Amino acid sequence: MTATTPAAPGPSLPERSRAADGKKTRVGMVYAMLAGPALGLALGLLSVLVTKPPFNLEQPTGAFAIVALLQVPFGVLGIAVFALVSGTWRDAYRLFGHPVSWWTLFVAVGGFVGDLCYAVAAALIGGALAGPIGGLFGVVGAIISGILYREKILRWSTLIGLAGLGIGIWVVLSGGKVVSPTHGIYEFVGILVIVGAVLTWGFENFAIAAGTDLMPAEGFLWWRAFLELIIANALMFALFPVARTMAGRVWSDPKLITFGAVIGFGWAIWMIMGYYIGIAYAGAVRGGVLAGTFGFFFIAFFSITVYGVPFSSAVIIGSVVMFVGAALIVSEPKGYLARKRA
Amino acid sequence: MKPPLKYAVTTVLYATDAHGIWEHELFDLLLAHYRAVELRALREELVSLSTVGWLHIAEEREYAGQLLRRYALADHIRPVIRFQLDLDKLLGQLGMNAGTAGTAAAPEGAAMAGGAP
Repeated sequence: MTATTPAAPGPSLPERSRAADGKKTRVGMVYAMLAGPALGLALGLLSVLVTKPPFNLEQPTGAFAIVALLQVPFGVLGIAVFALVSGTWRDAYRLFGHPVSWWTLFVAVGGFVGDLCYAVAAALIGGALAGPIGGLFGVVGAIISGILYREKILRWSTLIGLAGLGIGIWVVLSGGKVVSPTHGIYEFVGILVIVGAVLTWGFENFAIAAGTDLMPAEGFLWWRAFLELIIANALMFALFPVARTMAGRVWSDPKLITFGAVIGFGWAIWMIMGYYIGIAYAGAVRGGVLAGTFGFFFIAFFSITVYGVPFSSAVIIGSVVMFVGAALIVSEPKGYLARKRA
Repeated sequence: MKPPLKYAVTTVLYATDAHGIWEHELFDLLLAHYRAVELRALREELVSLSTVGWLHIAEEREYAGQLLRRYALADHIRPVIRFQLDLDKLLGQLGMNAGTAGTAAAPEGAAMAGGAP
């Protein structure tokens, strides 16, 4: 169809080539953003359930149990269905036998520690507060990748974006009195724990970017979730005897299992679209920052609207400011998106 | 057992010299090992590798409105690939003679030896 207009002086070949590559980065960024509501639905519900029976029998065992018994098993199932339908399941075993496949274990451990920290923080300060702070992991990952991978990140808009994130966080924290279930030292510890999650997820974010450079994203993702399932359950049942009581109650309650499906499948959709496809297509800086900030904004948004946490304008305003900051960090002039890592 | 497409693409590019390989030649080469439907992701893999700076475009041409590109592996990434992948195994799986690949990669090795003793 384009062959009929050879006389039109179109863009030069290198320009066309760059535009074609930039398109893929943009698609990755769109995926990363579209996945946001799925994560909000999943981790918003997790944040509410973690303070309810049977998970409130003992903490942090309850936080451990909701991750190991509900979020991750259904997440693994969701990702397995995706791999089967998309025909990429073969890559899950084909990727082994090379040193690069050790990244699967690295991201599984990092992801597990981050997920566990998030659940603990959600029990202490609630999802409306833990969500927006947790979303900063994308920025941590971007900074690590920017340094180690020389992904170009430092421009004037990046600095304004970082300032926006700082202001946003400050506004969100000022809403903490309303939305946090605990106060004083518990709230402080909760914030420290979510900062721990941010750092761990940030390293994982970088590891995903590094791993997907060489490994097929879908197979890599499945092992990340499956190994987390094994590690989380083994540690939980070995270290926390109360977990056995919780497991019995969870698996005999159809309602809790259904909640688990919502949490796990929502998390899986975000993992597939935002985290892996987003990062694999758009890089750790753009994909990671958008998947993180946008997804976690929806945790706060759903928590104070759908899930019944007291409403706080500060949390919404702060989250929006954070998101604008993140958008500034990832915004790039046209035609400049491709070939970032010199 | 066939390797994942991404490993295969990287291996072929590794075995090719700095001159690079045209995308359609790479497609033909891999068609001996993969079904055509599995190779639909080939361009995506190439663009991913190019986005992260592992590949550079050695030559571009236009043919009937289509963009044709010859890709070559960036020199700085060769040691990383040697470290991360078992290349002998992959070359065997792809039916590529390890000896030929060795000689094809030799000029690169020699060029890098100048920088890293």
